[in-house]
This record gives sequence, structure tokens and C-alpha cells, in this order.
Amino acid sequence: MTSPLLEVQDLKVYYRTQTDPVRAVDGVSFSVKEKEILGLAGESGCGKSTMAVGLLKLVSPPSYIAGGKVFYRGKDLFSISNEELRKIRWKHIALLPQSAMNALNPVMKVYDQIKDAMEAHEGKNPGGDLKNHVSNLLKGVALSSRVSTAHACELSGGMRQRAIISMAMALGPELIIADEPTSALDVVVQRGVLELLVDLRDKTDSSLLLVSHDIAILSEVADRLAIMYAGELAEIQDVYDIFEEPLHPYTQGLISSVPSLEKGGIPRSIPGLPPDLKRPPPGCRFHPRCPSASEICKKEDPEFREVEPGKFVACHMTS
Amino acid sequence: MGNLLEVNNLTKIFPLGGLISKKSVTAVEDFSLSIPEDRQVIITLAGESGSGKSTIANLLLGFIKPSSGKILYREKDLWKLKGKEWKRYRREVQAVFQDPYESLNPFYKMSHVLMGPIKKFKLAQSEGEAYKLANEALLEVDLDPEEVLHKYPHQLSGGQRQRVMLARVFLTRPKILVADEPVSMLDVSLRADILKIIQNLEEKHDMSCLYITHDLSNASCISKEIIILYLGSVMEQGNFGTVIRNSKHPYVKMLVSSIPIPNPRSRWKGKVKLQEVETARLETIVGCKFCNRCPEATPICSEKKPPLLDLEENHKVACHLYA
Repeated sequence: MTSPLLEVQDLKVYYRTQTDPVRAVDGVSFSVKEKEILGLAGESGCGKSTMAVGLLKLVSPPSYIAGGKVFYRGKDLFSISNEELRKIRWKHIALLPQSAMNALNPVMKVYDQIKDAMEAHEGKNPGGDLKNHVSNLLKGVALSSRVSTAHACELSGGMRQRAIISMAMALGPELIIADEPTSALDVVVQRGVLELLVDLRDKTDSSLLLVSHDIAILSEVADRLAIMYAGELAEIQDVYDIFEEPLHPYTQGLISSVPSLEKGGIPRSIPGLPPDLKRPPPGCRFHPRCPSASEICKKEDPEFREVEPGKFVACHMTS
Repeated sequence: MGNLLEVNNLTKIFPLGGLISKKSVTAVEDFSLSIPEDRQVIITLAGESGSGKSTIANLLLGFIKPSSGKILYREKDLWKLKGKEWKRYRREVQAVFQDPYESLNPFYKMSHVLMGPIKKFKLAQSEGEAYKLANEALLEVDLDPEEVLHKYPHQLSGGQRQRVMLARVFLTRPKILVADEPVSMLDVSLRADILKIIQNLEEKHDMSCLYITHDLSNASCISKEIIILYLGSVMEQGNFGTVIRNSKHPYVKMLVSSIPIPNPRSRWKGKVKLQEVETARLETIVGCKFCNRCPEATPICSEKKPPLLDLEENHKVACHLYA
């Protein structure tokens, strides 16, 4: 069995407020294996984006790491110095934050921006070599090398997103964390960009943590799927198993609320709203919306446990 | 019986740049549509960003003037409606938009939002009656009037806000609803409720709907007719199921095959080709708008615009392959 590339233990990321903290990520444990695509799904406000940046300790007030550990190849990322951590970011673990495509500097050419990022990590490089490297990177994301001399405004959304992906790939990371990489793109381009991410994984043997609210796109590309609800993980399973036999009632609700061209008809929605993460309900956080909740669910927070090899769930009702 | 709404060869050209610039962009070209008077339909208007779908909504609602072509409501030109007739159009053709938070004034309570149309169209004789109508409308969209009426927009969730907008629509008992991406701001788990309300209004309250969206999966739940646009032109239209399952236009085939299906057992087959360089959108394409991305393009495609051909009953396609 291969040891995990990234291991997250009981991670907590809170937001400080004048009263109680908002517990956006509240005790999340999972691992990302070598060469796998792990999909992380959840509704807006469930803490998935906070977790994506929290993994790399990229928190700034009012958010803070309230507990937990993240190991990258056995190295505890929260106990090393900030300088050491900075070296791991981008070179070993690259983050594509949400709407990163809008983060391109409008007055810099794409080439100069990639060069900037590389020089910050690798020091000054000989110019000729770098040019070649950049055009190879762009080729890798199916962009013409002409794009390297373009400014962001000359590129379409899909092209900007691909330029950003090529930047993330610049230093050959082993893990890419991509937060909603396709949510602003048209369907056809969305498919193209996702296929590209899968291709990159296949070619470079890297892993991908793909965060999205859309379980339909995750079902297209992910190997395993993690479901997050109200700051906690509800379930992790192999993607085929989770669609065939979802264990957590929230996962069941989420899957049946997604419309499908295959099935037709109006899907079922999940009644109620996600809780306020300042004062989450006692017991299981899903119990006020859960169709199969019982007394114990109102009192005790279910443990996130492995019920069968590779199947993790946090539910009292799953034996 | 005639058509309630008839749109004939609608074109909208936006000028670009300064006063003397001759550049322009054709947002909508030669668009036609009809909504019958004697039965209700939910027609989906689908396309990616920049396909002109919101421009069509704005044209139909009378927000912008068409460059050419006509919009006829009850057989009268929309831009010639006056006084009572215009007011009737305003009452009978309603709209909901993508972001309910933007449509609601943050300083007013929901009761004010609902009293607006009641006063404007004199739907009630007394205040008591007005509140009765507002309550009725909120119940219709599954909201609790006691809970909602005295709240400000920020106190409601996105789903509740969109429901209030639909309650407001329901007050005037419209004949046509123009719904521009009404669920795309909402969480997946709440979308179904909004779709159900629209379907309910169609079935029980004789309302037709033009459902504008980029998301065909959601549209497929409630709509039986579809029009697919690309850069302002209709590519294919007709019965929803036929267009999706038996797509003819190369663009529509590509679009439909790229829609993610929430089932890992039916994953995408093959790969789509991403463009290496963006083609300028401003250049006037003489032939088919899709010709430079089309895998099946022939020389005629870049020279001549394909007409919208009838393939079978209620199925039209604009492609030279079928001429």
C-alpha cells in the first residue's frame, strides 16, 4: 500500500468574530493518495474553499488555523518555518484558488508572470531556457506559444484559466489543489479544461484535489469523492461506489438533487438550510434536515470512521 | 387562435467604440419565436456566454429597442403600444433574473416588494385586500407570509429571495414569464424547488415561460421546447428531447456531449479540442457562426449563412450539412 501524499488530521480553520468563531472547517481528516484525483464536493458555505487554502496555511485574519495537522510526505506542514513552507507551496503543492483566472496581472504579459513565479522559487534562470520551458508549458495546456506575449485582456476565460493552470504546472508540483477551476466557463470549455487536468495528472503522475460544488463534473473525472457539509466531512468513497450506494443521508440527498439529462424530471431538493457555523446544532450537524435522524443524532456528533475498507462516513445510522 | 407573442426576424446590433467608429457587434441575428395563446409552453433559450440570450430577454421586456425585426404582442407591435395597452403588457409579461439580491432594494421589507405591483396595477381595493393577495402569493411559492413579509432582503436566503420574486410575479397573473437564469445563483439542493414553482405556474395558472439558461440539465426538468443559440444565431430548435437525443448541428452535438452527467458510469467519451488561439468575435462572420470551430465544416460554411431548415415536425437546424 502506498503511503498518502497528503494527510490531513483533524484540521480546523475558524474565522474570528466579535462573538463566537465561525467554525468553517471543523475537524476534517482525509488523505490524498499518489496519482489520484480526489473530488471534494459541498454546497456554498460548507467550508470547502476555506479548507483548500487552509491546507497550505494560507490563512489571514480573521481566519486562523484552530487545530489539526497536515502532513506532506510525512512532513508536518504546520510545524516547519514559514520560509520552508513557502518553498513547498507552488513547487510541491500548487494551489489554484477560486476565480484564479481573474488574478492574472492585467499589465504583465503571461510569459513575465510565469517567469516571476519561477524566479521566486528557483532563482534567476538563463533566459533562453525559460522561454522554451514556458512555451512547452503552454503547449501542455493546448495554448499556442503566442499566448506568452499576450496580456490577460486578450484572452478568453477558458484561455486565462489554462494559462493559470500552466503557471501552476511550471515547477512540476506533485499535488495541485484546484478550487472550482471551471465554474465560470462554458460547458464545452469546462470539459476541455477538466480533461486537460486529467491529462496532466496522467503525464506527470501528480495528484489533484478538485474542489467543486458540482458533483456532476466530479463524477466525470474523480477517482474518489469526499462530501463536505457544514464544516465537516460527511463521507468519502470511491466515486463509483458513492454514486451507487451513498452511505450518508446528505450524500443521498445531494445526488438526488442534481438534475440529469439522462434521467429527466424534476429532482428532489433537500429540505431546510445549512446551519449557521457560529452556532452549529448539537449532535450531527445534518440532523435538522435529515430524513432518517433519530434521538442519538440530536445529541452525539457522529464520528467520521472507516466502516469498510476505503469507505468513510460520519453517520449514526450507518452500521 | 393567433399567437400571444410573436417575434419576427429580430436583430440587435450594438455599436462599439466612439461616435465615428463603424465597428459593431451583432448580439442577436434573425431570431424568431412564437408563444401560442391557447396553450402554455415552457421554452428554453440556451446558449453559452455571449450567445445573445440575455439580449433577447432585454428585447422582449422592452428594455432595449431592436435594430430590426418586430415583437408582436396580441398582434400589436411592442414599440407602438401606448397607455392601457402598454400597461397590460407590463402586467402580463413578467421577469425574474439571476440574482434576486440585485433585484431587491436592501432598504425595503418584503411587504413593500409585494405591494409595488398591487398598487401599480390596482389589484386591490383596500389595504386588507392587498395583504390578502400578498399572503396568497407567498403561500403559492411555499413561503410562510408571517415569517417573510416583515423581513429585509439580507434576512432571507438566496432561495427565499428568489421565491419572493416569483410571488411578486404571481401577483399579476402573467401570461408570460421571462426567466433569465433563475436558479444558477442557488445551491444545487435548492434549485428543484424553484423549478417546481415555475412548472406549477405553467400548469395551474396558465403561464408560459421563456426559460433562459446555459444549464441544459436544469432546463430539461421542466421544458419541452428548446432553442439553442450560438453567437447570436439559432443553431437548432424544436422538441427538447429530440434536439438533445438526436442533435443534428455539430455545435449542438458538441455541447450536448460535454454536459456532465452525474453518473461515473457514463463519463465523457473521447476529448474535445480546445482552441489554440481565440478567434476575434468582432469580425463579421459571413457564413455560419460556428464554421471556424466546426469539425465538419466545408467551404460553403464560411461563405454562406445556412438557413434554418425544417428537418421534421418541430425540429429545425441551421446547417449546410442538411441542405
